[in-house]
Amino acid sequence: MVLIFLKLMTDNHKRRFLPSCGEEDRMSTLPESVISSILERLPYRDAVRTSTLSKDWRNKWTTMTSLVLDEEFSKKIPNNGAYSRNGFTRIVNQAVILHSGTISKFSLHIPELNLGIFQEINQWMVFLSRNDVSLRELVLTNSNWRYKQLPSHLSSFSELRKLKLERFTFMPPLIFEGFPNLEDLFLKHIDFRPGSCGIQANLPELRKLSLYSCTNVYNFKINAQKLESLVIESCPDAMLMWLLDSPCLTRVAIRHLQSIGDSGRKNLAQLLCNLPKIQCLIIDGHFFKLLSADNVPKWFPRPIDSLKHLSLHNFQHSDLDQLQGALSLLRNSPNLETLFMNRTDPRIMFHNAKHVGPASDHLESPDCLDQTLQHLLNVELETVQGSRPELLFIKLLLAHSPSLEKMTIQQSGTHLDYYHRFVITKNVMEYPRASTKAKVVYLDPKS
Amino acid sequence: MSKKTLTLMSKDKQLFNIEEHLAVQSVTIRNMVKEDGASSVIPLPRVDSETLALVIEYLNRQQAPEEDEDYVKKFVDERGEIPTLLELAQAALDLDIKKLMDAACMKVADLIKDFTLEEVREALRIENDRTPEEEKAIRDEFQWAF
Repeated sequence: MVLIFLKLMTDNHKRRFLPSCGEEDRMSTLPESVISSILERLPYRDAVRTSTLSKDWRNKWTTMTSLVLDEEFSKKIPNNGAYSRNGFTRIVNQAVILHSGTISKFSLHIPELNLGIFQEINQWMVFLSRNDVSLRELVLTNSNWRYKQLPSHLSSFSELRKLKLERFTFMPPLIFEGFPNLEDLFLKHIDFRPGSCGIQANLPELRKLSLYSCTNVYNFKINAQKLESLVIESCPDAMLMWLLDSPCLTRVAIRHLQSIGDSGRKNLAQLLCNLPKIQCLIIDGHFFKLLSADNVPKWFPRPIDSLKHLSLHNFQHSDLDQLQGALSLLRNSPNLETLFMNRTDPRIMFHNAKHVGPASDHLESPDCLDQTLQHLLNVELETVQGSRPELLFIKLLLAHSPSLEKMTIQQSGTHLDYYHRFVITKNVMEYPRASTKAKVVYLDPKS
Repeated sequence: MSKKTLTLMSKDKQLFNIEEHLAVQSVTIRNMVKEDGASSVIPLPRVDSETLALVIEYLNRQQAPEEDEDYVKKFVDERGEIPTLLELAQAALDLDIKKLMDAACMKVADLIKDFTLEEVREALRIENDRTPEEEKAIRDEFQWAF
């Protein structure tokens, strides 16, 4: 300690007696806004440490406008109980109480603690909202397996623009009445408790909604007329049609859906015709199965002129419903520019001739795609296994895309030996191409 | 019609030309142009020529909007020396170019977060005016952070 002290003294000593030319003076001070801008971007723990830098710096960190106590942060806290001298609860208490000035972002990750820390969260929310309601961004995540009830005090942050919640249950009172300015809502592992008679949320400024692995979503009804981006993944009972009833949607991603919860049935055509601005659509093969039950019409009531990017995940060419759904989408999207397809289910289908037959027959019928894909520029196909329907689909795309610039084919590595991969390559090379500048790129299988 | 060019002058009196439509990414220059047409040379008394050359390079970038974020990040990454980044941040502050200022400060924060306190002092030009006793008292209060 003494040695360090002596070293510091000599360092300071030296510095004080440095010749003070203009250059040195200018170097010695940084503008306050540069300092605070750097401080803002330091992780919370490092920011707290700056309190020992000098007298000037004693309380600088308490004015940071974002307080990020995220997972990264909680991992660095010694795990000696929430309420111990250096426990998690004490640290958050300190952070919240010592803070001065406005906070625009508050992020809190609750580590795995078998203690009643959740009562504290509500108190922190109360404290923050009393001091300052100008909070713009709030992130609350929870790594405890059991979901916890969402702090009821959330709704006092009426200025919120961005809200991210993970592993909580929604219970009445309706917490969503109080966010007139919310633009971005991210919900993961959220349970919308049944019996809450439905949460009707009016979110007039909401632009982006992401729902991952949420349950009882049918209880969550939102009215968001300005919604532009919607992601729904693994939510078994989402009210899809309700959520999709927003005229400004430009980007929609729907994956791993078990069923379409809504009572009013719609097919693919009706669904897409309701989205006049849709530009990017990401769906999985299963979604076609859900929506194609009523048979997709060959021509939609009107073409989907706005659609530019289409991603079909876990798509099975050999499944006739999925195949017809995809062809119908291609036929009715005259301005499509990029197409992406993959399959995550690695089971080999092409030996199973029984399933493959109808799909191949359909692809070989002369009018299966009686539409030129005028604007299609880029096609990416992942996990290609070389089944007959797959190859016929590639052939079809090459023959119908006069503007195509690039087709990327990544073969499936799991079950294909070199010989089979060579057969795929050989086949694709033979197919006539409508575009003179189309290049076909083969990528090595993902290991 | 040829594009209008502006001349910027660094602290060490070097002159740099830049097209007006690119220069007005700086809010400071935009306001000057609005006020008096900025026909003459714009002096930047706190920016040295090396830093100004970097700022000009940044303003001249030709990135698609969706790639801009990555470009800015790479731009500061390639100039990973703290003194250079601080000069850049100050220049961006004077010229009011928010993206550049944010990116430079982000990079500095990234670099100093693993530093010892003494290294942080050196990097940010801070003089330690505390006695070891005072420093220890603070360390005790926030024991978990040290």
